[in-house]
Amino acid sequence: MTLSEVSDLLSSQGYISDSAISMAVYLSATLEKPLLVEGPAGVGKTEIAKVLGSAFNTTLIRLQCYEGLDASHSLYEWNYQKQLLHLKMLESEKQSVAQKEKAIFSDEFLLKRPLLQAISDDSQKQVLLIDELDRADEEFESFLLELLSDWQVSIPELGTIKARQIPYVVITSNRTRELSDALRRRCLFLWIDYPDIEKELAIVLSKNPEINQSLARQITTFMHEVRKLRLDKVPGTAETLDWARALASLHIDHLNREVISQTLGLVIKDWQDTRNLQDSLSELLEKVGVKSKV
Amino acid sequence: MDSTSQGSLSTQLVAFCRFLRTKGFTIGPREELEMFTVLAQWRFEDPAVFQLMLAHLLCKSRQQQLDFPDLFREFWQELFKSFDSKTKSVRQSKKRTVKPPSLTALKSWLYNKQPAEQHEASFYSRDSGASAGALSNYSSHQIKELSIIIEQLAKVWASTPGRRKITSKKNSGEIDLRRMIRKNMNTGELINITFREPKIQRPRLVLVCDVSKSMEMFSDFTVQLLYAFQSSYRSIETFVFGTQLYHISKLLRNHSFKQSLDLLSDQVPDWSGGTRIGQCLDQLIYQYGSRLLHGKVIFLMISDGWDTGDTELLQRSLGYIKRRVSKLIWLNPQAGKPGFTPSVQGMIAAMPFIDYLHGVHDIDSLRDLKTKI
Repeated sequence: MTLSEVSDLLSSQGYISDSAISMAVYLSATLEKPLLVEGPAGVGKTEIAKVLGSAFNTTLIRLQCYEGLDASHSLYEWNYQKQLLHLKMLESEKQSVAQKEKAIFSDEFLLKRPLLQAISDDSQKQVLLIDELDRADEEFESFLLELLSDWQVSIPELGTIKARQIPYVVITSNRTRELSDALRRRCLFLWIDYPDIEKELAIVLSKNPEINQSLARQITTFMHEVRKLRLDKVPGTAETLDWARALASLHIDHLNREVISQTLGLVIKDWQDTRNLQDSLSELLEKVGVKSKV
Repeated sequence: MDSTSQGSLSTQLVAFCRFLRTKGFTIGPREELEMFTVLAQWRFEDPAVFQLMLAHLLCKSRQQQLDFPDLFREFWQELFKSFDSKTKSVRQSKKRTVKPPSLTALKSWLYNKQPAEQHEASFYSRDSGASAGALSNYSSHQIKELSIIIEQLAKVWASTPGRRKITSKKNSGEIDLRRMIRKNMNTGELINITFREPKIQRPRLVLVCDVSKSMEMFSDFTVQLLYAFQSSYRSIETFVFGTQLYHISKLLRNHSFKQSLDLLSDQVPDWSGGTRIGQCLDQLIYQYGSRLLHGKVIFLMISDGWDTGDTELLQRSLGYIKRRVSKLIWLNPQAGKPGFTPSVQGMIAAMPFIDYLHGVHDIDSLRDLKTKI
């Protein structure tokens, strides 16, 4: 696969990429290295994995990280109910503890969680999305190191399981805490920032083909200006797309003060930010080229 | 690209990696190998694409990506010079131009204190091995003691049950099937029942320390406290400020005390200057607020409250921080004095937002903090 093929692949799935994203995906695929994607919320980090899943026509396995996530929820778990039943059935048979143990700790009783699923399928390469890794504990991050560097995991009862096919791995982080250097070294790093007006316009038009072009430009210019304000929660591309979709479905063809006030909840998710934006609305409308009074 | 030019390019790239290492990039043989793997598969004709490829392979953080274009340009412009002399000269020129002012500033911050509190720490200089060693030796005992107290503080602060489960010693909580099956393998009957319960979480800390002129007399204790916090507490981000804010977690993490002092003197020029608490907190909120300030955080502020900045901005910033974090603790070295009342501008402005105000100026006063909170 070449760099231009990667760009074409991404755009064929409706993902408007740039040279940095294409290069990162290309290198990740070539070197079989996880791709660590950081950036503000709502700029399309998770979308990369989804797009890769559909572009390679493979399954997307998603592991949503949260505080307290551990091996039993991410790697494997034993089916305890089934094990108990089996132990009960073995009661009458004269088997040694070792034999019983071998019987109940076998593949038959193993529940595969996302990480194990991603490496144990030998039919095709999977796309593994480890989403918002910064939300998980540092212990979990350390636990991932073996998988991400050697593509193997150790299960005490079964031994070491090596990946049959190395999956495409996309790790995302919102930087609520710094990820360790050890994990960073095992990954390729990609930073995705808020898109510029032209790129965001292309994204809006690609996701909402029915939208009025001049409205789309007004929306993206407005969002670009909103991001310059000092907001607590800066709206991302996801908010732009939601807003564009809503305005298109309302058959609105241009922005004005009333429309913005009525639909502001789609863009701003914090009351203090809403007040700040309302205070600067006239100025923003002027920058976008919308007359304040319609 | 023929084999000769490829070979020459390889040498240059190895030198480039070496150059980046001197700039703090963590590039090992693995990264170099990957770089050559990609080069072997691809003919790069566009220099911009070549640079982009190197940036993706060699940068591991946002900051490195931001620094990379300048470093790339700097290196390749100097290509025809000897690589060894290049990296040496860069180091030397940096020593000459950047280090002395901030080193002097840190030294002066550590040095200018009340006569009764002067000791070896005051004579620290990165160029004087003996003095630096003396400070390291002197500090190691205190830092160890500080770390023990911080560990005890962490246990006091830990109160929220997390989602991670651990085996219960009190036989309460939910049944731990995994452990139970193992325990009862022999019998087939569930005779020994084991339980697990949520692990009590430690809060994350954001530690912000004033290093302005008015804090000089507590400088050696403060520097050690910052180091001890950063090295013994797991989830912590540390900042210092005077008239500007500096994020120093990385300078203190995984380094010896002496190395940390060297790095601080290199990279923080603002020792012993003025104080603008409001502006610095505002900068912290703007740059790090959405990431670092949330409900699981204890915000620790070390300052005497002497402030020459905007009081209204200080109140606004503290109000915002107070709303976002679980506790706002202000450690004022002056507050330990008998009869202390907050009378300086910054302290008066800050008082309505502070959950706990405590005087911390030495190890004993830090120990007191544990019993007070």
